[in-house]
Amino acid sequence: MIPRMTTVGTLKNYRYSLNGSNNTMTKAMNTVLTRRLFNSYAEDPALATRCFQIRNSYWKASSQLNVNESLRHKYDVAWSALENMSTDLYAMAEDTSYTSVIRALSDPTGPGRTALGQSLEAKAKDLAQIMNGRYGENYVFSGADTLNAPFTWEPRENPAYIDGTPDSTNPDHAGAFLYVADTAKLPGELYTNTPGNAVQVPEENPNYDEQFTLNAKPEDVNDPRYGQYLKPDGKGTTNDQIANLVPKKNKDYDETAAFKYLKTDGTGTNDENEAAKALHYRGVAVDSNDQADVEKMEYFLKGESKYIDVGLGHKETEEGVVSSTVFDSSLQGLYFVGGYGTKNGVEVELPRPDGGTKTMTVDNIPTNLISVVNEMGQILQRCGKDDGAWASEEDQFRFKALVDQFEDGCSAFRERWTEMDTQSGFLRDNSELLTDTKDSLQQQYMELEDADPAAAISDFMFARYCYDAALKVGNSVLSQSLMDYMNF
Amino acid sequence: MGIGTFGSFTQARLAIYAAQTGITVTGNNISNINTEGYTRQRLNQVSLYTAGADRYYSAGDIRTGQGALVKSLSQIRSPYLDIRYRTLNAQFGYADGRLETLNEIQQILDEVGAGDESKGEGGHGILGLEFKKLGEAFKNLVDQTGHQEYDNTVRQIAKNLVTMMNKYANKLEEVRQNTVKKLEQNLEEVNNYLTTIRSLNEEIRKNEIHGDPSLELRDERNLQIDKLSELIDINVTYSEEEIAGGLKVEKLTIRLANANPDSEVRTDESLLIDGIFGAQIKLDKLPVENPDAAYDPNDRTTWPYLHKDTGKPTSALSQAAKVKVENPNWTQGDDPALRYLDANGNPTDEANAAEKPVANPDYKPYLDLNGNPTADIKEAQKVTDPNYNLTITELKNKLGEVYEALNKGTPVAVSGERLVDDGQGNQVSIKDLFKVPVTRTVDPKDPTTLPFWDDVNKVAVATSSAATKEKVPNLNWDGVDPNTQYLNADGNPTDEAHAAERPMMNTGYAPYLDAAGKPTADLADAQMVNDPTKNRISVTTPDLPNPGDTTLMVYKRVLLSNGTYAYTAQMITKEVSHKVQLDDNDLSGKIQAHREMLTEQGEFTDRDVIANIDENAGGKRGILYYQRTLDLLANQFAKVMNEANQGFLMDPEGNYITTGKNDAGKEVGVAITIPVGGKDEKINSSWEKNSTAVQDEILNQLKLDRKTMEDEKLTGKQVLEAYLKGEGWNAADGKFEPGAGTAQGIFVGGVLFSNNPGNDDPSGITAANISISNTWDTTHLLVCDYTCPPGMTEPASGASDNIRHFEYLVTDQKFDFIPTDLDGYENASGVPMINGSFFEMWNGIGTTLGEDQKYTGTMLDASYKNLLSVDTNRDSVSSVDFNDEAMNLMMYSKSYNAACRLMTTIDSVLDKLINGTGVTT
Repeated sequence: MIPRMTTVGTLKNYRYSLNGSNNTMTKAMNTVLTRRLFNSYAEDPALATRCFQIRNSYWKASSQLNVNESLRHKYDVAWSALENMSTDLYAMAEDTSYTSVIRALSDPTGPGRTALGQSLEAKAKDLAQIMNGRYGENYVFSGADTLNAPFTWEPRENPAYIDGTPDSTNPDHAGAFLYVADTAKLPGELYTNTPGNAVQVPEENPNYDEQFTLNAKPEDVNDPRYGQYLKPDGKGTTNDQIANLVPKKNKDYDETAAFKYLKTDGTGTNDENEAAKALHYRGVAVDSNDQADVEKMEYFLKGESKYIDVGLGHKETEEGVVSSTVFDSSLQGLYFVGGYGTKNGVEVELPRPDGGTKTMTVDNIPTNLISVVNEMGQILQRCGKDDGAWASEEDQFRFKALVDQFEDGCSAFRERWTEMDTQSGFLRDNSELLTDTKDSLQQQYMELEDADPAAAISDFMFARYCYDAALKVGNSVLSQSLMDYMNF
Repeated sequence: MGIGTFGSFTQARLAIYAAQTGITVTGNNISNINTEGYTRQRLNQVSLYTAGADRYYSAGDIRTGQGALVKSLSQIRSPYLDIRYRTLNAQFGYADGRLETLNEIQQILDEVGAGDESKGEGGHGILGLEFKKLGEAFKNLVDQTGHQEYDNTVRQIAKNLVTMMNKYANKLEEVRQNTVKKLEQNLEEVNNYLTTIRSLNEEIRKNEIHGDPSLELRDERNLQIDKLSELIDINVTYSEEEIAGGLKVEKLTIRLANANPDSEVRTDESLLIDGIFGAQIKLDKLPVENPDAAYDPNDRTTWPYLHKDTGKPTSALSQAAKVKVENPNWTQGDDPALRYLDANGNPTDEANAAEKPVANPDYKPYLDLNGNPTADIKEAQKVTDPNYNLTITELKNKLGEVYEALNKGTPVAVSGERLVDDGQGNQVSIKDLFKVPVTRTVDPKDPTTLPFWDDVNKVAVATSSAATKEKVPNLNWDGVDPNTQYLNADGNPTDEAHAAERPMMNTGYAPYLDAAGKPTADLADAQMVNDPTKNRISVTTPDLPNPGDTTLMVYKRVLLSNGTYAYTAQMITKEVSHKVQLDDNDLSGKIQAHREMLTEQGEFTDRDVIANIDENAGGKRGILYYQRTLDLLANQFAKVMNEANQGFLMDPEGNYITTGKNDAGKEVGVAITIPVGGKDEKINSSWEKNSTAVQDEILNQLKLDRKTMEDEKLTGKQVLEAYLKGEGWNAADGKFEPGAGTAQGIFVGGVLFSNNPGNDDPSGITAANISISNTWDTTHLLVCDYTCPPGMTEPASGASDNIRHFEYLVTDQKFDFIPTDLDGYENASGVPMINGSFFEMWNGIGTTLGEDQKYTGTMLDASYKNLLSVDTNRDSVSSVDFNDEAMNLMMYSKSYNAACRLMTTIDSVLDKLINGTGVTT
């Protein structure tokens, strides 16, 4: 059956169609205005979801690039610092006075050793200073302890120091007391500094000669060698009953016990500035072989890390982060300067003036360059100011051991510097890769989201054309009907 | 016989009248071309033919009609198209209602194309971007650990993130509230339409009785029905209703259109309009519960019952005293057999009555309008049912009379041997229903044949008037109160003075004869014989299936020529309209769309609901779904971040540490140990790395065992941390409790996200309440690392493994987002909605919404186009067209002219006949 098209039906249809045409035009207009192919999930849920995922990856790549750039700059700073250090070490090795000292190791008359010693000690401080360089607000070479300077010169602590008032009942405080206490006078106490309260014992004859005393004639009793003990008159005697009584000395007494620090000559002091300085890394004495210190430095060098995601596929398992998916940004200064602890039993051979050689075993040779240079400086400074003579034979052998360690340290340093350069190179490459990734992702989501301007505008023009046409049609929808042709 | 001489004038007059009426009808059609809902009208004419053939009719005579008669006006409508239109309109309304709300949700949750262009964030979204920014901030903090400005940045972005979540949650709540209002407004519209349609039915009925077809009122009614059909899917039928004396008028009936896919559900066909009776649809209201009446073992006023032995309050139903359930419709004087209700709610006698526990009068589980506790549910304050259940009220007419439907079944042939209910609850054969007891003839001399008693003369009498009168006793009298000893004329208890009277019965009256021919007073013993005069028996069964309903079985018989009877049975039901509680899926249309958007929770739907109410509920997602999904995202986010920011410090090997002293007396970090087998063993933060002996000792100290650990799904980390916190396992509560042991270790960190900015409480976090915790807001609370270098009691100043972990959690870690993880949804789906990062979860919400919108939009487009097509078809049948009407105008105009010409012709002819015939000049 042919449908009966009525005036009302035609008008209604026209209204609906015009509305549809307007909708199409509005959508086309929105595409032109927003330059986007879609403006809601509903328009294309799968595509919208994909675009958000790509944008998420883009954002991630951007932040990875940012942090990679930051690390790259940090490594640049580190590289420069190591370059400075390298320059210093080379300069030192090439220094004429240094080489002359090396050449004239057996020459007791070599001049200028004291001055060179001062220079080397200052150089050691400089090296530590270089390794304390910062990038931004962070120390570059302090591992994960980025807020604190890694290398410090701390006053050498006195292990015998007794903090606070010594306790005369505590065996650990024995070093602070001169005498052994008389328990009859001081019940419960072990030590005392008051002679009157000490155990009284016969005064020993410091010149006592056992053979002389055994063979002594009567006139020999006034000889100072006679007798184990001294009488009150100062003459010797073998009878402890008549001997002069003196307070019993405490054999564990340590005159440095009252001092917090030790000077370079081994005496005590409570003045930090007077004290000898020892190199510390993150609060731990670098040249210590103490088990607790070694454990810490072992951790700094091998266990500590500061992982950061630079786009290597950051992943965690129940065990923790998968190290191959992140970048360890911690730089341990200690590693570059040669490590920690000291070497014992180092065999050193030196030529003798008579043409032979002498071998000596030395202990406590530091392994890190800064301590080595520092100690080299200190040894040279102990040489005779006028003739440059070694303060002791031990100093001479020790200096030789340090020189050997210095040479080894420099070699190791260069290897580690190269190693760091490789990491720095990785960051540079990674930066390029991340930049490419970021650009590619941006390109990708723009291709999916952004409307082609030509297509969008032509679509809009066509929609507009259709709408205009629809409006024109509207004018003629009811223009004529049979009514208009009726003639009564 | 032909037309009379002047009959031709009548013929012309009728033609003029018909043409003029036609012009008027056409004019009316043209006038109403813009009237909404107007149906074009058509004039129905018939040819007037007044006489039949008569006896003396000449075969040569030609009979002609006597003109045109205007018979009626009618509308041109297609019932089929109306049905199609209304069905499609409901589909359109449903899709439109859903899309309307989904679009509102889209305004909140859809971030496609959103973002600050000026910051280069255009298209990156808003809340989604905050997750990315937070990840980036953590990454920067990894690089710059220890610098407070970076720490502050993390906190500020986290604050922005939770503020955004709060905002979105609040906006979603606004959408929900708006949808509630829309539902209420639409229901009001439905009820207005129903009221209007019922009133129009009444008007049309009245007019029809007087012969007026009320076409305009019908148009208005159709318009109202069309509008109603957008809100609820309806089934409209027309039938004839007999008014009186064979006069029948049209009756319009509207029912729900069987929307429920469950074929056993009948409530989806409930009556809304039946002629002049109409119902309303109401939102269910629930009483407000008294929170203080929640069960408290120490408060007897919260125990609902009274004990059967002691009469004191009890909370145990099994110990409660019981009373019979009374029939609320029963009053004194009614049949005692109907005084109670059985388990099915049907009236019954005391013996079969259902029982209910006796309520504790102090137990007041509701709050009244003033907020005071009450035990009476009628006094309770009412709030809208959270499930937005709907009830159809009783159908009532204008006067408020309740509708009763009388349905007459078709008589069917049955066997006389069939056992049926005799109306007294007995099963008897149909043929026995036609039997009567053999009765004795009244014999004044035989007192056993006389029913009444004259107590004055102490004799039996035949008539009640001769009997002595007695007061009607109250059979339920308590034996104490004289004011209730009797019953008055209304059947109510009263005193003796106001008691009704009745004739005294003869106690020796024996009106029947038994099988042996002996008198008997008991009908059961009487001999039953066929009553040939009875051919129709009616048996009534009251109050089934609902109170007030009756079923009348009419049994008829016919005596056949062979002397046997043929029986028929006919069922006539009278159904009293009652409230109908609608099922969850009984409706379609916009109302249902709003209901679903308000109640459907998708994956958060209770499994019992899916099993028992709507098996598809798990796939229907309304506002609650989006609210809960956002809550789940916020809750999971807060939980993960809070867990990551709390713990105990450990050494590089992962052993928990505490503060100790070295040989020099300096404070150092030392491993915590636990004595096992005479040795002190370290406790590793990885449960698996601890020896079995260490694990057992820890469990032992916590008073926990491995089975409980497995049953309660406790992780090794939870157990270890409970041990370090000095907690103990409370088996009764199924949780760790503080104070059982000694706290050890160095605990660091704290709650980052809480349920209120003023506290550190992480419980019950939702998108609406998630906040930066008070402590984090005022201090630097982020734990950068849990690992301390050997011998140390704090991590390195720039250690950042936990910050990196945070970044991983925010950016890369994939989680199972499981609905049951949300408080209060323990019986929802246990299947992960998504396994993804927080951002992916957020993106997933948008995708789900987009898919839902797209599907609904497609559904809306399709139903709209179909609706348009059917509407056009309806217009092609019913609407006015200028060409048509112009044609009619011409036609009626020409008819009018022709009729006038006819009259002129007849006048001219008659003039010739009268004045010109036979006249000679």
